[in-house]
Amino acid sequence: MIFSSLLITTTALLMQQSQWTVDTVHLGDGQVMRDVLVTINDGKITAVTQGAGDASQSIAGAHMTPGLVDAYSYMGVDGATLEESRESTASLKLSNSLQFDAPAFGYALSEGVTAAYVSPASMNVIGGLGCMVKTHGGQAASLFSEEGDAARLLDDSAALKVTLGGDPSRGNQTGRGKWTTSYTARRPNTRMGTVWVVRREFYRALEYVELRDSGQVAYSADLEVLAAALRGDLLVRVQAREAHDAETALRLQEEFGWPRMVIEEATNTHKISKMIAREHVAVVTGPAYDSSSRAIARGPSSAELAFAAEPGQICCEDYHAPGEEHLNESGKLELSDFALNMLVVVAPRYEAAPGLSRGRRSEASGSTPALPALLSEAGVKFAMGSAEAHDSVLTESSLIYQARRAVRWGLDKDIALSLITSVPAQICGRGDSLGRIKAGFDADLILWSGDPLDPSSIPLVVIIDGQVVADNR
Amino acid sequence: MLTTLSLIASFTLFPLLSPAQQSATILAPDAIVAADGQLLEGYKVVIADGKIIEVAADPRTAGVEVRLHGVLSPGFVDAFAQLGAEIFLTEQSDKVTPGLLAVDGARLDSDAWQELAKHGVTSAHLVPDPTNVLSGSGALIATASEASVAKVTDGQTVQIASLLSSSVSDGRVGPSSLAGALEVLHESVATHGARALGSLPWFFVEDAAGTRSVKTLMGDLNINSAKFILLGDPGEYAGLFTDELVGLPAFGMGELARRAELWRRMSKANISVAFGTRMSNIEYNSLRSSAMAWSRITRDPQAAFESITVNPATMLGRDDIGRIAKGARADLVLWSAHPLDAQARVLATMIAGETVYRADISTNN
Repeated sequence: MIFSSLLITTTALLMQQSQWTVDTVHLGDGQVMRDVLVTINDGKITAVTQGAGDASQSIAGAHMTPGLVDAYSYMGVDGATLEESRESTASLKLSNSLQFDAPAFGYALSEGVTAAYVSPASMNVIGGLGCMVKTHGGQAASLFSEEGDAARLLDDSAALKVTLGGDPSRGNQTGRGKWTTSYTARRPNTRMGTVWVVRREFYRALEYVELRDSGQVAYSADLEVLAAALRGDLLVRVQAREAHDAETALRLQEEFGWPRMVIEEATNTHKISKMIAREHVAVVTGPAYDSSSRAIARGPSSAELAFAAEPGQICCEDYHAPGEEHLNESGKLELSDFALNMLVVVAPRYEAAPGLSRGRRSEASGSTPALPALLSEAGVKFAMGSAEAHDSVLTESSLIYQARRAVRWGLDKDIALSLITSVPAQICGRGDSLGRIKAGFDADLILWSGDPLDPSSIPLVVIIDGQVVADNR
Repeated sequence: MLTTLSLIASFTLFPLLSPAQQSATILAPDAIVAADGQLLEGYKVVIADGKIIEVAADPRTAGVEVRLHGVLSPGFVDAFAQLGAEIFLTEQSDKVTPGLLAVDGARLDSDAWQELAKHGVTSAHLVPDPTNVLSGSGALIATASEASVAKVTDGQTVQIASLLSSSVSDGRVGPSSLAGALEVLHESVATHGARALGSLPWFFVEDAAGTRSVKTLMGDLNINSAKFILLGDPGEYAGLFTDELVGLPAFGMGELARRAELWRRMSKANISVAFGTRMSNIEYNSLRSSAMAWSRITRDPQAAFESITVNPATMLGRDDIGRIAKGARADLVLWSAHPLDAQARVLATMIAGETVYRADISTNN
């Protein structure tokens, strides 16, 4: 009896039909339509037509875009997801230790992000399998959460994470002629060593594939994953912030013939954009780099600010509480050196545990806010990602912010929107269901208060799988 | 006035060249520096597709002639450098790391490469730090390109092996003695065959015992192409290299005085050298100043010029760099005088037929 009523409720939800009449619709592929009727049925978009419907809802002056797709994020990734015992943990699934209830998904949703690729952290060389999620619709664990107020898993093996550059060897260096006594001594401490781990593991996989069929070798979960990457059944996503690391990625692709590779967090690729365009390798940029503050343009959360206001809790002699002089005109904390230092002190989880942004600060120092415009000009296929930008409530580097910033630095507006909708969907292997407003696609839609690339616009209504999950009207 | 005008003309024409051009370009400098370091007047260098296709007084190839006011020299070759790489070429997790590639640790967008190009160095052999018994393979880098980043010519050149106190001092992740290091070498060869060392291994040595052992090992393996880089005090053991070509670290001018007697004796023993800068913090001019010093000390300008052009190329088994000759890559540097003349300045640098650096015109007038 209970079961059948549940079934009826679910069916009723799924059968829900709705229609929206919208003044301006950004279809996600760079095109714009005016006066459009969007029909949603069963969680899918069923029709996109000119004109108005009788029973439709509408918001005057609103713009509609597809739900934003974050091509590269660390939402819900924390210390629990970080495996450092081995340099290759290819078969570890991030989804098994992801915090689906992390507030980051809610923050992302409030900024219009409805789907995201979540990457394993970068502290070992082959980090494992990243996953695709929707930012809403999962089973909430907390009794105090609304129903569906957690991320929902779409794909637990979306891509294999390989990290080049300084992250896997960070902290492993010792002085010249001196040797570490810690366990890090067995780990690579140079870029060369890091790349050798990648090559060694893939050579192992090649050998494994040969011996496996004749039953001469025991099953290995890690090597099976690498074999899938070699076959092209699995996307290889190589983190390479510096230009020469991206070149290394291209060499590795040539050496092993990875049929599918994406270079992610490619903060400095404008230096070799022609080479990348020539090789037809897709790139994920982001997070937006703010050279004046030497850091990712991201503010501390309100909780962190509250914590920072209690200097007694932290032992620092030179501590100064943030005064009004640190707030900008809109009342937000300026990311000065002071603020950065404060973040290091009060929010070590961003600095030490995932070990994410520390390496970026040095490796991305050659980047430019014009990176998206330069890549676009060179003909590189690329999408934008937020990295940890959605981790805090003041999402000054949220995905839409990055697109706005890219436009300010020379990128075409329509291209900018496609870089956070249809292109990331394609790069993440969801180009047939996400990132576009088109019949047959998932009904993930955002209604903005104005032009989405206008800094004053906010998401008024967020729809995921046909359900209104946020309504700020 | 006429000179100034033609100087400007030469500068405006020089950057027009690009390897995409199909037709040949005839460079007509005041003189070229031949492989033996002598100035040859009246010769023209014809380049096409990034290569030198003819060197002659009256070239048969048709093409656009560009008059260059200055001396055209082959670009210098740094035999072993760790430039732009810093600690990223010192792998400490193991003492036997033959699989490493220096190119993976190379910072190709470092300004240091550009600086080298401005000082007449067009090729640099990047090597892993020789702090492991087997450290991995080097990479040959063209110091500049059209994209203003250094470009890889060869990503896997030679295996870097070393028998230095720094590479055998650990004892925890590797051998703690010369005997132990030799055992590692023997083991590697026994396991993987001579290929473990690559076809052209380079040994960094610093004493007679290590040198003798490696020479014996190479004899046993029938490898004739092994090359040696002499560190430490070569005066103590360079007698083992009579009539051979060896690598030698370039030094700043201040340290040259106490090397003078050593170099004189090396020259007398007919030891040819190829200079390398090794550490990243060396002066960019140190290759040229070392060659100039060699010339002054040994009174052998030919050997001096060869030490930074043909010799490093020969050590790498290449004949397409370090010389102005048919078939070589068009790595050319325009100098205001003979490059080993203390007054000479770089006016322009070309790599693979592409102008990658031009001196500021205002400073040259």
